[in-house]
Amino acid sequence: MSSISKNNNNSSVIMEGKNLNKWYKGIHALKNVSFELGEKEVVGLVGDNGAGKSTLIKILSGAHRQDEGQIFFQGNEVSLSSPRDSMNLGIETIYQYTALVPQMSIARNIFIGREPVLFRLGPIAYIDYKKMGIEALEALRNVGFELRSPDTPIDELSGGERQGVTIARAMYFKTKVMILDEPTNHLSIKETNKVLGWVEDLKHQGITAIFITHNLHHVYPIADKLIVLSRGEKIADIKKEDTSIEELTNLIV
Amino acid sequence: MKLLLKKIIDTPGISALIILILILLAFQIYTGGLFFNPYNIELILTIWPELGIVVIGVVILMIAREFDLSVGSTFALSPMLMQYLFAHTPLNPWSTIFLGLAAAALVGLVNGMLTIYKRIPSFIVTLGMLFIVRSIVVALVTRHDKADEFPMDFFIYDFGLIRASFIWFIGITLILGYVLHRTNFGNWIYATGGQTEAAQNMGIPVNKVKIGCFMLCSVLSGFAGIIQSFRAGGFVLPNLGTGMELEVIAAAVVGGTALFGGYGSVLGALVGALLIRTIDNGFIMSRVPIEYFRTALGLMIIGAVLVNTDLQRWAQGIRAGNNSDKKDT
Ligand SMILES: Nc1ncnc2c1ncn2[C@@H]1O[C@H](COP(=O)(O)OP(=O)(O)OP(=O)(O)O)[C@@H](O)[C@H]1O
Ligand SMILES: [Mg+2]
Repeated sequence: MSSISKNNNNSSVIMEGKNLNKWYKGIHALKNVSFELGEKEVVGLVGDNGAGKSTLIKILSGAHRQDEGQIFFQGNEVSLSSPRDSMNLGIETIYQYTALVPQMSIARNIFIGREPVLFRLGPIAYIDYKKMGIEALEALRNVGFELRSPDTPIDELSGGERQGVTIARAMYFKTKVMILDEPTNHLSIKETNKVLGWVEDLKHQGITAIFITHNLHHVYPIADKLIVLSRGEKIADIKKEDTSIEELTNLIV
Repeated sequence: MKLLLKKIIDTPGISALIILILILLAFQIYTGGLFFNPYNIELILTIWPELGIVVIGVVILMIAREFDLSVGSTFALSPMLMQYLFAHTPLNPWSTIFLGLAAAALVGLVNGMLTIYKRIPSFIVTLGMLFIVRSIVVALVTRHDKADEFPMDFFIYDFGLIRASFIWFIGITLILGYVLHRTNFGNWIYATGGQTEAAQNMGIPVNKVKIGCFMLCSVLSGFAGIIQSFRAGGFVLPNLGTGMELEVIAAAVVGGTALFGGYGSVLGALVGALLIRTIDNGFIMSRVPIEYFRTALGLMIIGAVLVNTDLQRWAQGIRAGNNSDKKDT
């Protein structure tokens, strides 16, 4: 089996994809893509519309299955057949529009599917609301996100605040790899900077982040490495020091 | 203080509760104090559970973002099948009650499977089931004279002011209220209806949750139908429950349930059902012609939605106001 190989950057590899392929009804959406993610690394995943970025992260998050290829997590081959599988390994994905339930409170959103339990009757568990409120507040504080009450419904938050909640959630559940799908889309400059700050902090908390974006200017300053996809193929996988925004822009277009 | 107000307004069903109290007062005054007589209260406490149990099921299903128009037919199916089996097989009454409810569960399962795996909107699936199930009900029409062998007291025993059905109603309300508002499963129902993809991304089995809600809704309808048939002496007319789907949706909407999922409460279901049954009864008491009842019902449905959306906007205004206060200081 593939080992936890040291790469030249002397950080160990936490996750690895090998020769991943995916077809959608004849469309070859992912062509033999291989990659490595180092620990505590911020990886920018960029590429034009339809390049295959979402396809790749859906495979890593367990929402879709690859048709060919292997995925390794901390050195072991893993089979990710549901979002739960990925979450249990510590891979958390934050989808742009579908990460939170707008009508529900911040606290309930943080704990969807992982509610703290007071007691259980068969499959039904009584939620420990007190704990949920306290822990939600704690989770928000951990990302330096001083909010109103955790009872506030999500649809009363701004776009940036919503990203804050999802990041707080991922941190609270001790995520090892966090995948963010266009987290800065449609945000004001101020809020974009806030989100970029949070992602940078992830690294210091020992978390690996995959940051998907159309906007190189957002990811470049905080990235350690950039992966460029084009029409389903990986056309670049390069450390930030070895490239520039201009060079990458030319690659993408 | 304002935040407390906001919290109250934000609770689905509160505005319906206020409307209910106002209407009760109006009836009391209009009938010259006759409305709140023991006989009338007893009547309302008898008919409320029979509608309310169905409304709870529909509200939970609507929170999960699905509809059930077949509740009126299922309401008749359970008691009709029960009577049919009792007359034509050697089964004892309890087994026939159980099988009647099992048939309702099956209707819910079919509704759910077609909606989810065939991707037909539940509005259409359950509209179809409304007719299919009704025709089965008609085909099963049964007459026998052994109705008193059923354990009717267990469901409708008359304690004076209330009947056994009211105790069942309270029990169902408490259990489902807790499940919906205090357990993980309730949380999943809200998440599934509020934003299905987000729920799915968080690993919630959204299909199972929805199918569970469809089945719950059908079983509650069948159960309420059995209660009503027992109150009618064990006889089931083939048109039992016709038109009920509209009353039920009216009650759900008046009780503050959102049409697009993710918002609603058991309290709202209770109040909505009581409101429908009260104005029904209040208009009869006031000797107002039936047309006025329909007008009032129509106005109330539209009014309730208007009031709810306005109140919510106003509540958000309070929130926004408060927020900017904080930022300024
Ligand atoms: N569910 C699907 N069914 C069929 N084809 C799909 C599906 N999802 C993606 N595709 C196709 O696969 C290719 C890659 O799509 P993908 O969504 O991964 O691109 P992307 O890089 O995320 O693009 P964008 O920047 O627009 O989000 C596209 O040609 C797309 O049309
Ligand atoms: Mg995409």
